[in-house]
Amino acid sequence: MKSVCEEKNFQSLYNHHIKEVRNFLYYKCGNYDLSDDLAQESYIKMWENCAEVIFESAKGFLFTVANRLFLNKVRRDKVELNFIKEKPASKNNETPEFLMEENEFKSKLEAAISALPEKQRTVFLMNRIDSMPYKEIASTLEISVKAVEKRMGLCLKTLKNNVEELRMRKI
Amino acid sequence: MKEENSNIIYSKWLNNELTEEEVVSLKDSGDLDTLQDIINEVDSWNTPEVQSDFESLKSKIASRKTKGKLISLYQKLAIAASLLLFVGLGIGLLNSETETVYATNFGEVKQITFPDGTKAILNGSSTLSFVEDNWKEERLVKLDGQAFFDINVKGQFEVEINNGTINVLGTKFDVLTNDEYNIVKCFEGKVGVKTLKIDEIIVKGQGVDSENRMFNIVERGANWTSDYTKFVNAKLVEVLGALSLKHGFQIDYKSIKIDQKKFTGQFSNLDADLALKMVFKPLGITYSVKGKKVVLK
Repeated sequence: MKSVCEEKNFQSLYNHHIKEVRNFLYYKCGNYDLSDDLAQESYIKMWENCAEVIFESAKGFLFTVANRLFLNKVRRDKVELNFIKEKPASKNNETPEFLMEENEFKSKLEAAISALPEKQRTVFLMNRIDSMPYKEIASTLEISVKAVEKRMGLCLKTLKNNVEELRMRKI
Repeated sequence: MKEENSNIIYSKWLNNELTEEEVVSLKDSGDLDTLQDIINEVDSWNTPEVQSDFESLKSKIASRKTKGKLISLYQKLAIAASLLLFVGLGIGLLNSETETVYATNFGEVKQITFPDGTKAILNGSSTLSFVEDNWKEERLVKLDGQAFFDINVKGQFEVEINNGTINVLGTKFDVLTNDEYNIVKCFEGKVGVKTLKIDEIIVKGQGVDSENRMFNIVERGANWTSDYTKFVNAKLVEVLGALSLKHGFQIDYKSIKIDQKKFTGQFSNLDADLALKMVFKPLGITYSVKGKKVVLK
């Protein structure tokens, strides 16, 4: 059995999940610097308790600690999320392009996502940005797949309505 | 179709779990285009890489391990130091290492420059000390009272406060520390604060007090270096602390509840009587003054 207390195992957990943990915190608090710090803090907590953490469930442990750190430290302000655009979005042929410039669409969508309830927002972004399947999100956050589906559904509906409204106004 | 079902359909569509028929009916409803646009856009996004790497985590863990010992050792030394060292600008001997001590009287403000060019401004009734010979190996400052720091060179920099340490990660910050409480405010960069109750990292625009309450700060730098000490929505305990540092008052506030009281305004650093009026009048607190003793009612 792999021990979390062994440095090479601990390091591999770091390399595999540090960005996911940091992103998870970012989706909640909207501050990259703070998220970096709290993510590292989560690993320190895991190191301090390495003997009690089972390697296979280490990821869940990290997210649980990260969430607790977030709840303890961060006031629940409004967040304003910003992302880096890595590639142009693949175009849907049927999109009437003139309705919304791409950059404007990005910032409007970022604002709409930032305004979502925290739990929906987090699940949605874990799925899209960190490419985690529903099942993995469910096990990581210790919720049911049904709950993930529900949050995703609610979130997609809100975003769809927001975008439709924006487009109506444009016309 | 029930409302909830229609939502689940969206999430199943995104997860490719719908039958062909279901996709067709979703397409017919006209929702699919908008949803696809949203997903295409979001899927083109990413977040920046994490700033800190595994090596920095390792060194953090290593420094945590030794810190527990360090604090208790230094606490003992601090007690010894407070017995040994005299008040006023002077030099004391401690464990045969020469410690440079700066101390201010109430109302006095002193500028200090450390060997590496780091600057500190020491508020009144405060004591700051460090070992100059060790400065290259260990930038460690002991503080009782209040000081504003502007760190010049990046790297390890520690401030020892009552019952704890502040670990500096390259920054400007303000520390108020005495027997009763600590308040740390960060104006630039990041600051790690560790006491018996706190283990926090605060960033620009945040402050933390000894009860582990985080708060936002509005000011951009130390609020006490000019002719007035200024506050925005500050806890009364902080204001009373500042009054003591500046004017040497001993303030007895046992008979009033100061926990909920907040103060926005300023007081004179030059005129002690005026300073009391400027704080307590707007708060509707009456007080009596006998010499340097102030009793709040």
